[in-house]
Amino acid sequence: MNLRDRLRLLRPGTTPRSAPPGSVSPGTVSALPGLPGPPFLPERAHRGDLAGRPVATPLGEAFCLEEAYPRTYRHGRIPLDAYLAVPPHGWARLLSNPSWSGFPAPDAVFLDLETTGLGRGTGTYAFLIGIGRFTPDGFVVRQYLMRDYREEPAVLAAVREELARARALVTFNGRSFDWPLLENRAILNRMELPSLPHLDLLYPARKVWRPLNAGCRLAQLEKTVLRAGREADVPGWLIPQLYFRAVRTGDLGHLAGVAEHNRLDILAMAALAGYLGHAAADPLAARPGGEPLLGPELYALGRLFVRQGPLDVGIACLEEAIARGLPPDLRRDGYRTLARTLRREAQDRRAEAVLLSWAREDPLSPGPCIELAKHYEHRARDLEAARTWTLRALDLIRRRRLLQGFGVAGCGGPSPERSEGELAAVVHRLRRIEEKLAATTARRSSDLLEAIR
Amino acid sequence: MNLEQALEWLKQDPGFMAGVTRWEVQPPRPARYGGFPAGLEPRLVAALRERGVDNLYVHQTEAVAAALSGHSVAVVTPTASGKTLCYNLPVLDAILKEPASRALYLFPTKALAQDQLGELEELCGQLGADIRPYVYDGDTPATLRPHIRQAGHIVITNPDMLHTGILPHHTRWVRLFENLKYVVIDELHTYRGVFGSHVANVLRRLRRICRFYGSDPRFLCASATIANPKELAEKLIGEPVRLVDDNGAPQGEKHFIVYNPPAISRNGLREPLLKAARRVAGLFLRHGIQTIVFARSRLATEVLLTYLKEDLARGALGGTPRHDGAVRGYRGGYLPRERREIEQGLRSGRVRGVVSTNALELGIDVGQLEACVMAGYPGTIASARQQAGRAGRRRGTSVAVLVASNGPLDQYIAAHPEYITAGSPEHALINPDNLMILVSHIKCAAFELPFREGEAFGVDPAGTEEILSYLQDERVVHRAGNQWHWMSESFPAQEVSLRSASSENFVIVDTTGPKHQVIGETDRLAAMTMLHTHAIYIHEGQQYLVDRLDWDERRAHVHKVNVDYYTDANLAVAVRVLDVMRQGTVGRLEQRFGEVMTVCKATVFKKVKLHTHENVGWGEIHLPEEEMHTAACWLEVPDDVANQFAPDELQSALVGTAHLLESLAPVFLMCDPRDLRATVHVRAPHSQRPTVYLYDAYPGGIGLADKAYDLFDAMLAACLRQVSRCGCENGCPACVGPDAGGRTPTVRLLSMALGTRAQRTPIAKETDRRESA
Repeated sequence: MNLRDRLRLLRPGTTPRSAPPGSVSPGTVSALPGLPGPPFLPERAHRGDLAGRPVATPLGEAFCLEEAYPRTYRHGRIPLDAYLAVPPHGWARLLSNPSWSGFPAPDAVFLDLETTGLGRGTGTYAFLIGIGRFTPDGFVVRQYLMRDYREEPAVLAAVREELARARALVTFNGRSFDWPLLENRAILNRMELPSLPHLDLLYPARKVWRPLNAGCRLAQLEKTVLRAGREADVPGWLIPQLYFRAVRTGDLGHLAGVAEHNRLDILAMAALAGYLGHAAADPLAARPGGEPLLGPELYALGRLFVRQGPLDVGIACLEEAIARGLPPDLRRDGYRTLARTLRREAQDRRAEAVLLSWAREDPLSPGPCIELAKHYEHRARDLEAARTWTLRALDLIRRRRLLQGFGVAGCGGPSPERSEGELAAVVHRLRRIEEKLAATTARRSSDLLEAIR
Repeated sequence: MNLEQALEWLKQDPGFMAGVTRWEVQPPRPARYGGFPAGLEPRLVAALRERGVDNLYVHQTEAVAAALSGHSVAVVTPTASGKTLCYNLPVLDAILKEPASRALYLFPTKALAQDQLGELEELCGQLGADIRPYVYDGDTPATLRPHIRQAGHIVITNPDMLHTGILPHHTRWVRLFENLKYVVIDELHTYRGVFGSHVANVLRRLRRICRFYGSDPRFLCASATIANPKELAEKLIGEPVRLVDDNGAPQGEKHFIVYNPPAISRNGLREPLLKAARRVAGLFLRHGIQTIVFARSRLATEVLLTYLKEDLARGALGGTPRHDGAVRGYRGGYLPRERREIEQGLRSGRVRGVVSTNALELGIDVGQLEACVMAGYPGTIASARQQAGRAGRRRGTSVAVLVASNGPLDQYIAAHPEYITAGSPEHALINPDNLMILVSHIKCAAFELPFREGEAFGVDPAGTEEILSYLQDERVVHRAGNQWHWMSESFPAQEVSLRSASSENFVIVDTTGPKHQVIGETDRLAAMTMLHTHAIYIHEGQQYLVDRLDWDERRAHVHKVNVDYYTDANLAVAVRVLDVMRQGTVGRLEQRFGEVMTVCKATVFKKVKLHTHENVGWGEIHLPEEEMHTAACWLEVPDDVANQFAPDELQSALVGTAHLLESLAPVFLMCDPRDLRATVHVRAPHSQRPTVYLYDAYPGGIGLADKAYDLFDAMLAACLRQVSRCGCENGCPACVGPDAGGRTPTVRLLSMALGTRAQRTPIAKETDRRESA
């Protein structure tokens, strides 16, 4: 039996009877052990024209697609050149590190890869490498496409050339995906890539937009923040299949949708970078999308600045966030963070005012009452007021527990265990305040007696 | 009573001695030294002297010298002969001389890796040099991994991690691969069969990646005793090795006893294994003799442990009652911390006895014990010697007792004890070019680096190209210019499991509680007979009823039950011969070797009552057929021979021969009994002749059937001896299998095969070897 027949027999469910030599039907592909069946893909899905030109590199010919945009081009509601106008301290604040104020924004390139898979192993190739950069009169996206695997060295040589002319790198999730993968490819082709400062937008984006609760993937942010839509966008999971089809058929048209997808990702990155930079540089006045920042965005920046400074900007952001409007849970947390920060900074009066307005606004929540009790007991040293607020907190907790006990749906509040702990803490606080009060009264009466004598 | 006295006492016990079929004494042996080889780094010599090592044993000298002169080495010496120095010295020497040097250590288990780390750290500490050994396996914290990849001088791992975690990510290990001087492979003998064939391919991939980075490491291997260490090492690593097997370590007096428990029924049935083992081990333990007991399954380990603890607690037979912690269990499934504590206790002498599965057979350092009791033949001579080697001190006496079970293999060993004590240990077979395994690893290799035109992987360049073009048809690689590239989203290493025959394991999900949990895994074939709907599956002594077997999802849903029966499924196997590659005769029968297609189908199952073994019901099994293309050897019975049997006699003879062959073949092939299966056709479709098949239980075959073809004579002779000397009336599980009445025709058929005159009526008991011994 020859090798080929024996190989065919490896496939379960095939026998010499059912598989005459040479008849490998496409249907058997998914039957190979361990191989997932390819997803269903209509033959002309995402097909279009792909206009590019060959470019010469020291390692052979690469294929390049180029598209230029004016600087004022808007992706969604953000003009691309907003990025260029970000004051240096914006970058430093966004990345929580003063050295980023030296970020050479105009000389940075935006990088995004399309790959043959999501794994980071050595068998994943970057078949399309998109690079965006600002030029004196616009924004240019160059995409290097490996039309076939043998063009990989040339594509990498062209990309290395592009990177050599840049002073920094901007990506979205590039720290853990794009850049290590590109480095893998370089090592496999015995090449070295320049090492550049790398701004990965994913981390600041998560800081700023997680409270919006609408997802932090690039495509989601493009929709919610940039308000840019895409028509017939190629879903990411389809991209490897489209590439394999293009390589097998030699028809690059199958990659038109993929190239478009990659180009839009790069534009989205540039627009998002501009938005983030301006938001961080001057959160109260910034209008990167033509409108002031939303409450949740300010809230996120406020929390960030309260932690890393500048503190006054952080406090102002939180105050303004409450004013611009926040969903209830963020609002509660905003008040609490604000009051605690002010108390830490010994701005007792302001802290008290914040807590009082929180209590007014949220009369059924024990949270502000407890915070106020703390304030009066330890800061203002007004034990009577502390007692009043503690009693109120106790009352609110008990009422809420009663509702929970009746199983009233949607009454909110913490879990039974946490509520138990909360109750115990408040009772403990009340007892301590009463003891202090008793001691004070006793001392007062003895002082009084002393005075009378 | 010390060990010498205990042995004397045993010798005086006629009841015990009646069961002893062999008592061998190896006289003590002094140490032989070879000195530190010239060229060994002086700092290393100084550190060794500081540890009290003033000289090297001859095998250490020879191994280190060979490595220093640039050879790959395979060291084959018994347990505790100082094997680790044979590879640690060349490795440390290389790093001391060139600090950029790197070494990779492979151990078959994580526990062994941890053990080795401790020893290396100690030695490195003594050296005072900045040499960093690390364990890199599934338990290594993610935060530590980048550091290890960059700075670890010695990376200790296992083949599975190398296969899925290191090779496919070699670009992150540039420092290691550029500077790799040595690859250390300890416990070489464990890399046999399917596992070994996979590991050989993993090493092919390793060498391929090393070539890419311009390094060319030497391999330092250490093995327990097997017949063909040099051949195995060379097949595994793909290059010539120097064999070092002249053991210079000293050894005290060693006793080796083969003990067959007394017959307790007229049917020839003997005292149950665990009971006998409990008696023997109990004697040693009661007298404070540090003892290791090996049991063959996890369940047996737990049962024996319970017995021995009971005995000690009661202070049975006049011994002093001892506290509970003195005897411990040790098996897979214990937590690592618990295991370390037991190992430490054994070394310090606090733990006086341990009952273990073969988990302690490998080189985990537990010090040297005085006595070893094997509850049942562990399956191979090499294993038996390895286990016996757990008892054995450099000074003083030690003893190993093998207690035979009722099974055919054990009874064969009990009747032929010289087989273990004097015979050559088994050949460890691997077949790295098994097509299924090879193709799997060519996929992995293509993922790691593109194949160049004319490159050879395992097979010659033309064969490699043939496989690559097959993979192109399967749409996972793509030819571009003169290279073949991986072209798929999948991660092939993840789909290839080194340890199990098939990558498609079935998981067993316990749905008893509100939280469903996976309690185990089995391979496809076992799933057919053990996990079919309504089967009773037994796991760690607990019964589960299988509610549903989801064949496509490879998942069995079970829940806990407590019933008084178990289930026994019938697996119908048909064999279709595809190609005959070799043929010849055995006596009046004909033998063949070739490629076959086996078709298995689980048909019905019986419900069998526990203890009484009554049949209390049955059910049908509805599962698809399983086809497997594999290698087989078989015996065809020509018509003139077949005519001498009545039809049902012939069937019994075939079934009996198949049962004996399946039981005894592992002795000759050194394989896991599950790697090989036998079946029969009363009228084979390809030849119309009665046929007994022996086939590899792994797709494509791993060379067992091929080897068995050459050994048919010897195997059939062993079968005949076994069935002739069996004490039963006319067939029992220890000889021809449960099919009653099969003994006489089986003897006749075997006699014809061997060209001896058929013995018809009553079978004379063959003279036991022990009487002549």
